[in-house]
Amino acid sequence: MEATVRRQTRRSEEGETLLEVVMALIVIGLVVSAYFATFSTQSSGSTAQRNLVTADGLLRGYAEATKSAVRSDCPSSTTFTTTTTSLPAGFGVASSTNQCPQDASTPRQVDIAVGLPGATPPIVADCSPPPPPKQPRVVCLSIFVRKP
Amino acid sequence: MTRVARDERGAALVFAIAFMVVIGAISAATLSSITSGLHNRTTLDVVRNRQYAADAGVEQAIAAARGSVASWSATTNAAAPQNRLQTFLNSANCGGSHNYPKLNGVYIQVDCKPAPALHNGYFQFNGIFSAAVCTNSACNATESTAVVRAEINFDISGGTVTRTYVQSWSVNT
Repeated sequence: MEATVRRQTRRSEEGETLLEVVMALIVIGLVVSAYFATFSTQSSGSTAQRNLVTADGLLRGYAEATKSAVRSDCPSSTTFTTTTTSLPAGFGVASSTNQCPQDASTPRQVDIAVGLPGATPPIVADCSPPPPPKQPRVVCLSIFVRKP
Repeated sequence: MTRVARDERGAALVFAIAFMVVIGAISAATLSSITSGLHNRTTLDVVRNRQYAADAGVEQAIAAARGSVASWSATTNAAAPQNRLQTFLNSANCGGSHNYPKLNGVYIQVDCKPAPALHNGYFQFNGIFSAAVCTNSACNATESTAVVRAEINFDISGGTVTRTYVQSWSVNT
């Protein structure tokens, strides 16, 4: 009687242990997969944020450079030249115009577009509505410039 | 013997569930962090668009004010020095209030107030421009909510504004 119970118990434990190991492997596999997927998502999210921050800095820098160029060039010229620092790899900047305002009472709108890595060239600086931007992976900003 | 074996049943499942819960919590926290970061990025974009829309509004208002400001010299030169400032404050204007079309997704209202100053016996023809964000095209913003506040000096010669100078330019986020 005792031998029968021990045999049944051992047989039962053997079967459950195998099942539990298999289940545990499956569960661990799923969890590890999910964890790596999370890291992958975090990595891509971080990259996207870094690119957007870079684009924001480029937009602001180019906008200020444009305003400065208009102040310095337009009193004696009909065009202005925006001087910027070198762009990070994969980024592109475009401006809608380099024409000075016609006169001091007529400001001119200038659209500035920054293409993120992966944007399809050519980058078109057209911030007119409706948003979201007509080109994917392009950030746009409108400014007004005037003669001093 | 049988009782002990039965008590151990399911232990691995319990551990597995606990493991999943812990890893799930970590994953949820990570995803929450990513979502929060992206949301903050959106906020920064909104701030940038608002600042440059206000900036554009002030630039347009300055250009539009040149005609009004040009008349200041003619209306004030005849008055006694002490009265000139009062004459300015009573009669001068620099274009009043402007509502501009949506730019960068933002409606902007710009108000201009004359702010003449007497410096070494000479007038400084100044105006203070304040740009505030509106929720729609018809708004009634106040200076206290201004995004950009700029003091501009108008150089007047021969009855026209020949040049403008930025004396101060402050931006509120």
